[in-house]
Amino acid sequence: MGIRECTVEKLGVKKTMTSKELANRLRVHTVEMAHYSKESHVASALSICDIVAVLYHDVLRKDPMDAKWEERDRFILSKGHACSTVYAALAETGFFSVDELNTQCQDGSRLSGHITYKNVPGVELSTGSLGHGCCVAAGMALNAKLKGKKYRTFVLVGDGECDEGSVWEMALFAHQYKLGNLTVVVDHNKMQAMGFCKDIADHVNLADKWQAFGWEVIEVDGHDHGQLSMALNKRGTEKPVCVVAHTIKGKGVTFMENNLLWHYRDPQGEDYENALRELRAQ
Amino acid sequence: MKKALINAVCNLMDENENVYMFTADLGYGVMNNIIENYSEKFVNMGICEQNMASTAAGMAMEGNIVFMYSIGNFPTLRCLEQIRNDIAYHCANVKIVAVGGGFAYGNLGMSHHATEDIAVMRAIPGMTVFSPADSSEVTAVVKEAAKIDGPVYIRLGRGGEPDVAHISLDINKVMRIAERESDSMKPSIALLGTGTVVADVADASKQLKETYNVSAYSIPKLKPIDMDGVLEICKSNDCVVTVEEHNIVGGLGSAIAEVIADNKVGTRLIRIGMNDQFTQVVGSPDYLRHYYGLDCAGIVEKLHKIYEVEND
Repeated sequence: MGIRECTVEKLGVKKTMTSKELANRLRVHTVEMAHYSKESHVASALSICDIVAVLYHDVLRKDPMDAKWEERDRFILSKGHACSTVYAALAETGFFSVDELNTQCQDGSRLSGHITYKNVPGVELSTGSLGHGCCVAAGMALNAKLKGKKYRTFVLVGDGECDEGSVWEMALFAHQYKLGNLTVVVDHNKMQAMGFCKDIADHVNLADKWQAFGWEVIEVDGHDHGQLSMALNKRGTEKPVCVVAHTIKGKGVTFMENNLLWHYRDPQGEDYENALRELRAQ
Repeated sequence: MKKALINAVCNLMDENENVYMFTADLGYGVMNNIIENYSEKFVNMGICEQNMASTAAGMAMEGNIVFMYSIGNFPTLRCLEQIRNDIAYHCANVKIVAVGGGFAYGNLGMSHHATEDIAVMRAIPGMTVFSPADSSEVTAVVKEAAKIDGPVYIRLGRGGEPDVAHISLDINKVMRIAERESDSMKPSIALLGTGTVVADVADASKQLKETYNVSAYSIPKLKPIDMDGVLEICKSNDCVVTVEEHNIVGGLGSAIAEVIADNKVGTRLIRIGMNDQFTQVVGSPDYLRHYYGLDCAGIVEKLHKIYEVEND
């Protein structure tokens, strides 16, 4: 667990900060970033704050002073529109200044509205079009497998993203090549751009589907840090691992939860104040 | 061409342990040398071109050189966004190999006719584009591609292409294959071909000698193109003719037009290729080249007609 010797210290997270506290900071940042950028996807970002906090607090081996450290664990955000959470995690763990977060999407900013690796330390891959990041992650995992490297590869995909055929091409491949060093986390908030997944392209049962593709599947409450930590720290042997994380879109801000409007709307005025007040009280 | 490709890749594998060959389940019989002798470097991705392109990008980002192989439009158009976003944007060291550019799979129908691939690959920032004409060009292209730290597209024929009689062989340059006469009053034309039509271009240059003072060239590297070489040809000829087994939009003809326009050269340009159309018939590559006027007879007929009209 953790970066080289100790994730929490080396990643620049204050030693006293728990993963829950980190998650809440990510939520506050996420809402602030959506407010200043006036861009969409705040609910998608809130959905993954606990997953990302546990990854950066308890799981990933990273070094903010050496972002390209060869033995680092690879983490790819395949649902690139939820990038504010990851930018915030990188800032909170010392990859760049927290002060920069609210420049996201502003003229000349390096922090784009879909995650980018260009000039942003700690980001492995630029995504934005769905169904790409998981496949690139498979390539990174394949490299480790073929060359006996110890790093693990994690990729976070959306459940709506699982509509994309390329996700299942990758699922076939990772099973065939026994990529036990690859962990896919599905942010299963049951919603996608135009409504509920079941009403658009019903996956019926996502966990069953990944299992049917030969993966080891672990279902967790995607807001329960204990369950997340246990699942994400579990290494596959030969089977790649899929953590199906049941989440709530917009988690943490009551009026945004399970409300599709907040896939698109940016918080302003009273909405912004109320969201921050609720998060700061948590 | 396929054999030359595989042999050249095997040579690279001997020199560099980080060279891999991915295929989207094509290359039966072709890949034997790699499968038998470099099995740990060979990955059959299944019929999954999108995942192949992205996985190749991921492998390349870890310091490898990945050749990704398929036929026709499958390794380009089928996974274009993966090539753009994952390979090219990340400057990943992936060499995209398409066997069967143009009409190589002519009998098999429109799905297998690759006549827009050069245009599409040329439009991607950072992509180097090669379209070799014969085995010697393929060998040189693979060596050159390995030296390039970034994405490369290599468009091949299907096999059995005749050897081209190069007067010079520098894969980065326009390569002369027929010299013009030094002392002639006839109008001078330069025939420029790329890939599988170069043999027809060479034949046409011989048949046009009575009418024109003809030189001919093979241009395997379409992007970045040999600007100085093309300019020299344009400045020293009355007319430049491009021939390609490809749409006239975006391919060799367009590349030459860009050089002419960018450098304020007034040379006349005639583009011979598919006239912004899909194929409507099937047949052997020879049949289709003839049907669409891209073979020796078609080139000669078109240029004779132009001569007759202009000297009437």
